[in-house]
Amino acid sequence: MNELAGAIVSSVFLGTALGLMALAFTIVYTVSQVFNFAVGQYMILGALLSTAVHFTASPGVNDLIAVVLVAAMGSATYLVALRWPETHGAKPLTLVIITFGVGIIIEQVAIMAWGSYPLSEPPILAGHFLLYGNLVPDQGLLLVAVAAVVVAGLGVAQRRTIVGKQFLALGANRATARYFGLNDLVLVTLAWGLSGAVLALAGTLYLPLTGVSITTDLSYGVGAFAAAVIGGLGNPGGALVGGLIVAFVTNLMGVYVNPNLTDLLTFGLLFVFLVFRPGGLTGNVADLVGPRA
Amino acid sequence: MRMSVPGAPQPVLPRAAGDGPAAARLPGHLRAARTDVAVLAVFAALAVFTALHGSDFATTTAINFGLFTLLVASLQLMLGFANQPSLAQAAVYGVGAYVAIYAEAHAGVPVPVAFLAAAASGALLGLLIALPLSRLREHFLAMGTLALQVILSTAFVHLTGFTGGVNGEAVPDSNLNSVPVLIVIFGCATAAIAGLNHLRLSRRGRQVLAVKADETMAASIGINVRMLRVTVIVVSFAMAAGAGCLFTETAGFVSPDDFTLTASLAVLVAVILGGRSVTWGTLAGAAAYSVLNAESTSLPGLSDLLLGIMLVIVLGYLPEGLTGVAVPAAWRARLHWPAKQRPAKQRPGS
Repeated sequence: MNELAGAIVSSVFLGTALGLMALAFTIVYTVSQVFNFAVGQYMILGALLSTAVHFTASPGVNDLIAVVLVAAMGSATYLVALRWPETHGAKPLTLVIITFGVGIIIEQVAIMAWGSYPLSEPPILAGHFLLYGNLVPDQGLLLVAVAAVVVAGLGVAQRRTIVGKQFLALGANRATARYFGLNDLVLVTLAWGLSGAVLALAGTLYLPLTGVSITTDLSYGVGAFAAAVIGGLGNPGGALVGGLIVAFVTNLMGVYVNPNLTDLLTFGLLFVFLVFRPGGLTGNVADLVGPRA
Repeated sequence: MRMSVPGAPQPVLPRAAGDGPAAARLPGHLRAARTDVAVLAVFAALAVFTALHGSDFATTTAINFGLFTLLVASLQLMLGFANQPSLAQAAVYGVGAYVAIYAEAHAGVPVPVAFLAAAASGALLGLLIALPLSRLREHFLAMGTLALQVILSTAFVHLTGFTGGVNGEAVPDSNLNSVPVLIVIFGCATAAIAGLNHLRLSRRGRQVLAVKADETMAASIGINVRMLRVTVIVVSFAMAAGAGCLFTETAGFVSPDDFTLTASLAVLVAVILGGRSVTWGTLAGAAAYSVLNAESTSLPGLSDLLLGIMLVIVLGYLPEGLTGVAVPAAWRARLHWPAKQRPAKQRPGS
């Protein structure tokens, strides 16, 4: 019972973080059909920056600084690395691989700046309580609360605000959206910034629970990708559900079967979804696979 | 001569017989054989230079270049011919390496048999993967192969009985820095590039290119699209796994660090760095990446950083690759440059 409760608690926290990352992934995908494979790096970079400034700012403020910085970096990534290729006929595959390159650059620069050993990031809420013999940190509850607000807020904003509708319009057909007068440069840059902000939020709130090391970027990044695919790309609520599914499957596997095989299972799950339900639990398959020959 | 206007690339249609200079009126395969000879000459010159130079560093660099060329050629087959990206070439290379070690160390078979076993294991893996994955296109296929890469990387680390885990597996009877092995590897690389060169002109190759150009059109003229897509993956994986066997012949030991996602990305960047020319692009991409990588071994992390920067710059700003930038348009016509993959338009007057 205690073991199960512990696994469930840690799954909820990890799943929420992965869900936020998948949400960031899906924001960019909705607007421009690009998979951002640097999500893991941005998330951890958020935590690293927040750790770096925590002596100079009060708790919470350092996290906000990190969120703003990573949001700016997200926008800069689009403007520097992706805007020109995108407007000069690069295919989605090319843009995806470019985001891999951006991720590698961030990873290597972060290793030069902070080293590859895990750092501990001070949490905003240091308290904790006991649940069936397991310590439950208040920081985790803060993460869940913030994630719920962000997911619900963005879900509503996507459908109810002008900018949200403009995002959807750009994603549906960029050329037509431009004919109707939307400024795609500003809007896609904004989407990348928003995505960076959500990623930094996930990093600064979740990583105090585990320790911060840039070398874990790939497993978080692909976990988030798996979550986004399973939840259905382009669906904010689905992203959170996908994150929770990935976290529960891997954590329960780790506790009850073999902790070495958790990665294998995440990617196996991703593989199965890609092949049999590439639209995820909620999405539409038709536009993701080619004509059946 | 057709002029190329910057910013308005014209579709280059497949060259008809009689198009081009007089010497180019030879039958297609014979004409292409001149390219094979040129590639062979490049490798032969490099092998002679390495043998004369005699240093371990030169031999190792040349061997790494030859192996990398094989991997680049295997991905060129998938991506260049069929527009099927793979982010798992390094993992398949690893499967070939481990199978070869196992065959030699535990089954005691001679090297050529181990090579065949490695290639067969790659082909089998390709078949198992391609049957489900052949439904996916473009970046979704890339994601599927990414999952394969990470699954195999994890398996390499944890299947300690088969792979030796993170500590790696020692190779029995390896020939470190030996020139004969270098010659075998260069021979394989030449054969792979020549194979791609002639595939371009063969019936099967044209079918693959037709599938790449327009899948629906290809299916409508009776090409079995799914079978071709699966075959391309099977052959490509067999090539990569065979290269893995050759790798074990020159390496004292192999470890999962040799077969990471970063290595797969390096193969991909080399293909795109080379450009669209099947032969010279493969060679140029492999050479350029090998040189940059050999130069940057002094500082750990620098080669990875360089890979990242190259991914961004080459893919984003040099989509035509090195050969697209460096080779003048007049030469391209002589080298019967492959057509740009876009819907072919009717040229006025043709």
